Amino acid sequence: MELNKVWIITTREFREALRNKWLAAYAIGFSLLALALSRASLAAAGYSGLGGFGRTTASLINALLLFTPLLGLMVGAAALAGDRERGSLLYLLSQPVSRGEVFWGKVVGAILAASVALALGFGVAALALGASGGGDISAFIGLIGFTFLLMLACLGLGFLISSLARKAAAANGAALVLWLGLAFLGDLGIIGAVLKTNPSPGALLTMLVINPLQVFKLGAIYSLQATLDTLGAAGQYATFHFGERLPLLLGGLLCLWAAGTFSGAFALFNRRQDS
Amino acid sequence: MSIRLNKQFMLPIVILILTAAVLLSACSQKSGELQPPKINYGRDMCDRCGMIIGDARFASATLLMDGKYLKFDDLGEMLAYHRENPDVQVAAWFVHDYPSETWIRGETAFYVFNQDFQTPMGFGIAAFKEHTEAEKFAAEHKGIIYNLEEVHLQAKMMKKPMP
Amino acid sequence: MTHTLRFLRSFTLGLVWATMLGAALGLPGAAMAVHAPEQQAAQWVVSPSGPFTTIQKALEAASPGDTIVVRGGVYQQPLVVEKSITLIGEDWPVIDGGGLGSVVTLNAAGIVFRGFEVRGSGSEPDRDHSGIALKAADILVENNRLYDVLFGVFVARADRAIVRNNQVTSKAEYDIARKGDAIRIWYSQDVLIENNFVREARDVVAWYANGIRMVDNHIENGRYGIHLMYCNEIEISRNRLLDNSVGIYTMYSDDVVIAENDIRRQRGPSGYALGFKDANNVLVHGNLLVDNRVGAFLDGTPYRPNGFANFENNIFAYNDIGVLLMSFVKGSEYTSNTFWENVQQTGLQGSGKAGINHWQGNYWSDYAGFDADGDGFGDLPYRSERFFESLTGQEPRLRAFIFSPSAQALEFAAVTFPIIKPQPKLEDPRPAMRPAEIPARALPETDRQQAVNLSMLGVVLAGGGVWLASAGWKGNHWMDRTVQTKSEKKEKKTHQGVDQSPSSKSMLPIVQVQRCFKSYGKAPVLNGIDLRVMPGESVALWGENGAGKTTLLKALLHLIDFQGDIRIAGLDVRRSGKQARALAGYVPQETVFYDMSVLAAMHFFARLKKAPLSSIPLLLEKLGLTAHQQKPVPALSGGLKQRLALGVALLSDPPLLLLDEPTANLDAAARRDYLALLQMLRLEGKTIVFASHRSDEVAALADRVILLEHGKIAEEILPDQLPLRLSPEFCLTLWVAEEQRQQAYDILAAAGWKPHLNGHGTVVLQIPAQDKLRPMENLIQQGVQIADFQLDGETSPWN
Repeated sequence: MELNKVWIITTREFREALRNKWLAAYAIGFSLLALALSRASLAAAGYSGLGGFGRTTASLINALLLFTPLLGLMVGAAALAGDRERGSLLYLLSQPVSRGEVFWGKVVGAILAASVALALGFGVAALALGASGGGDISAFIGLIGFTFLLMLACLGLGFLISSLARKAAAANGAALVLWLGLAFLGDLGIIGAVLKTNPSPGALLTMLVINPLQVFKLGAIYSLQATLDTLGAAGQYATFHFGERLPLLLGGLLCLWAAGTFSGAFALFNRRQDS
Repeated sequence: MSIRLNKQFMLPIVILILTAAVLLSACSQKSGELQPPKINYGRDMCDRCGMIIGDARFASATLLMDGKYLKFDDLGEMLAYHRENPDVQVAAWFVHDYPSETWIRGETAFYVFNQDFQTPMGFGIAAFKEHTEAEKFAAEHKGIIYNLEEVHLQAKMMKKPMP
Repeated sequence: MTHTLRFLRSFTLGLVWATMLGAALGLPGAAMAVHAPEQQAAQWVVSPSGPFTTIQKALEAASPGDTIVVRGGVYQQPLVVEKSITLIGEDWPVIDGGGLGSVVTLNAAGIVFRGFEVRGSGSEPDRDHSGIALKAADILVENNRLYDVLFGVFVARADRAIVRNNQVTSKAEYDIARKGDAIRIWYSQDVLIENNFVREARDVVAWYANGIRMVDNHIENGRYGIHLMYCNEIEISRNRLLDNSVGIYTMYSDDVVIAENDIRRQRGPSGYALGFKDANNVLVHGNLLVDNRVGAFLDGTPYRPNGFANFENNIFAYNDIGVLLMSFVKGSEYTSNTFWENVQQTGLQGSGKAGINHWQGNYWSDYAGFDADGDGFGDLPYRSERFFESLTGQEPRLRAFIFSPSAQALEFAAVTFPIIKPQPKLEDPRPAMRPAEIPARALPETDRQQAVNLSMLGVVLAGGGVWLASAGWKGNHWMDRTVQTKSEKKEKKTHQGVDQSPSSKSMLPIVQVQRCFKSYGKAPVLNGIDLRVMPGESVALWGENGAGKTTLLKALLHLIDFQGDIRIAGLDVRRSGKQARALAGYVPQETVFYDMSVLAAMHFFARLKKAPLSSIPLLLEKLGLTAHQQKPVPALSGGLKQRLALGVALLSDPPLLLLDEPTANLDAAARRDYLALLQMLRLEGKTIVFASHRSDEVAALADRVILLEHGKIAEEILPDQLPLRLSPEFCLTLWVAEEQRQQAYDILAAAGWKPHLNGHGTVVLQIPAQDKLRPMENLIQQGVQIADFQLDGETSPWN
């Protein structure tokens, strides 16, 4: 694999993504969300200076929880399937490049594009927060980190869909279904299971962290509050058992998700030599 | 093609559901013996007063007919709770042997009561597996030895143990 | 309210009495005055250098009322004081109990104990091994430091004790449950606990004690910050309680005032800032309850039907739950409190019918109503009725999902379908519109540095984002620089070695396909293809749609998987696909480019092929694209797009061109120009393999033609044989004079043809391609005049 060729494809993908007006919409959305979130939970002035994690913060984290995966899944799902459907993927592969160079070039390009949206969003939020009297910068950085990792994991899932689907519309549809599943259905299932079966806090925590969105939620709340006990028994269990290592573990889990999905997607993309 | 696609998407979901199911079934296993509950000292809360259970020697518990456990931070709390909630059906009583700090069945334990003896909630009751140990302790603390039934009667008289 | 007032009045009176008593009896000056008439108070000095070297000796010598001054030094041995003595430490003398029982035991009324470091108590849990044990009335303990003691100050049956300005911490080696209490009050009345600093000890606890005041203490990292068991007439005010498991837990106690305390981050097990269990006549006002698990928890409070539990002007902010009530709690009142951003403002725990409590004029940060009349209170009542919150009340584990999208979906469902609408937890008919001012003592310090750091982070992030975006947008930037690692350079070298071999050893085939199979599903597309193409050859792949032409081309580039062996210039396309592809320029039937300009597209592919960028202008010129180079690719006509694709294919000057239906999508003029271009390339010595089903392409370009049928090579022919193969039967239409038509028909029929007569004076017959002339020769020989004829190719008039 030649890094140079990966980079050439990366820049092209990146350029292509920048022309997509969705990305701009996402960047603006991120700015608004990150701004509201940090104003509500990290600002040093007024009530929020009392230093807390409140309803607004919780709902904003959940807004990020909906928004980030949507971006990641959609961008990822479109990355291969769209090109494949149009035929441009075939043309690219007919050039003296390996499939790996094409795949990872597209991955890095998508990550770069999504990072631009994130950086702009959180940058604007940080500026506004700084201008209005400051706030907890380490918590802010933690939040950015977990959002970025969630984005990676969801991009990976998107690429997985993309390498399976032949049609862009099918990929988009599958991404939406997966998004719904991760954001709503999976949790509703666990809620049902909790009401039915009385799991121990450890088991409940395990069920939670199967879902990368919940891992993000735990990480984000931990960044803002340095404890998870807002989340009741499961959160207390997590805080008690893992303590200081918790952010590392959660971050590691998200990284595992990203690594697993990306390499799975690559294996599929590599195996399917009929495009 | 669409069918094949769906199959491939189903796989992770199926795995997820299976994992959850395995976890759940692992958690709900119970053996046939009547077992005392596991108490996380310093974290679990007393089911009567809501305080943290911190001292194993006085921690006690009841197993209810529906399979649930109630945990208490003081023997007196256990007695008081079941006096206040007579409709709650108890399948088994569990207390700690004071010298060895091990679980014993409450039905066969010996209880030493003295108001001045300091227990977490001030009920002044300690439980013993061996009658000889109970006698020794009673002599030392000027206490009286009761069985479970008698100590229930005693507990009725000490709602608010003021001097 | 009348209850409150009456209680307050009697309580205040009690406090005045207690304070006066304390002042009269506890203060050293006053104590001296009491003893003065009996005898002159003496002062004794203990120091490592004498006159007394142990405190015990001085105590033996001293009389009640005397003062013993102890100078700095370490005094090993527990101390028991049996006389009413004033003990004053200077330069922090240390009393070390050596791990035996209590360190200092004060057994006589009126003792004053001030200015000592006390350490080294025993550690048996049931023996109250303490730093300082007070066992008589009217003792003052102040300005001491206690550490490495199990219990700190133990006030046992010691009425009117004053414990003030002490620093207390328990034995560091034990966990919190095994530690002793910092201050333990046992059967003692009218005790004052004031301005002590307590950390990492278990509780500050009072048992069976009335008239206790705890004011201005700082208590952190303990279990129960302050704990009342069976205590009446208690005042707890202006204390700071930080990071304990529970802030103030009031159990089985009556007449309690809790005022102006700051209680934050009580997040241990249970984690109540304020907890009440079976308490009665409780007044809670002006407290700041921030970032706890639960702001206030009420169980069985107020305890008696005519008792009260009033919460006024408190601030509940950022707690997980603001106020948590056991569902059967009734009769508590909440007035003018601020509920700011608690994750859950209020909660009900347990099942059963909720009791009635009173809420009036509180501020709720999630109140969505309005104040039209401008009286400072909302015109609509505040209602707390959240389905998911009520669900977590019954199943606390579900808090794991609080505010998760699924929970919000459930909430939404509950609002939309009122079947599962929860009963409201509470209703505040007159919610305040503005939150209370944060008391000055609690205002956070603003940190300029933090603001600066955050702004800098913002600049870095936003600037970085903009920079990256603009770099990507504009192109021709650092992004387009070529990076080469060492291994890549090496790879390039070997690559070049391979590159040259085909041209130097021209006898090797440039394309070699052996036993190549490919099927989609069960349908074979390539069914055992063998093919050799020598350098400089131009080979047409001919066949119907589905014959496998395009598939074979894709296999040559390893764009699809296949069985068998394909080599380009000796390179196995499966193993060295990249190098093989570098030798082959591919022009698909229809090229899809990205949305970029012609020049940008050429640049992109040139970099990908490592072709010199300097060759681009020449190539564009050659292909007639120079005039179009700034146009976006999608705006080009089909012919120009095809040229661009050819241009891309030619970028690295590859020896082999693979063309898929090169002119299929072009109009006649464009086709002619394009074929001319390809002919030129052929003359330049390029090897060309192209798929086609147009005879003009084949005629113009091919050296030989491979006929593909159902994935097999049916035959290999020369291009000029193709027309015969194409249409094996022609339709010959002959115009013959009317009187000779029948004769012509007979002659032709006799010769074995199958002629038809039709009504337009013609004879029509089918003839094989190689025998086009013979029917006419026959007729002419027989003297039939042929006025005209027409030869139709692939289509005949009958089908």
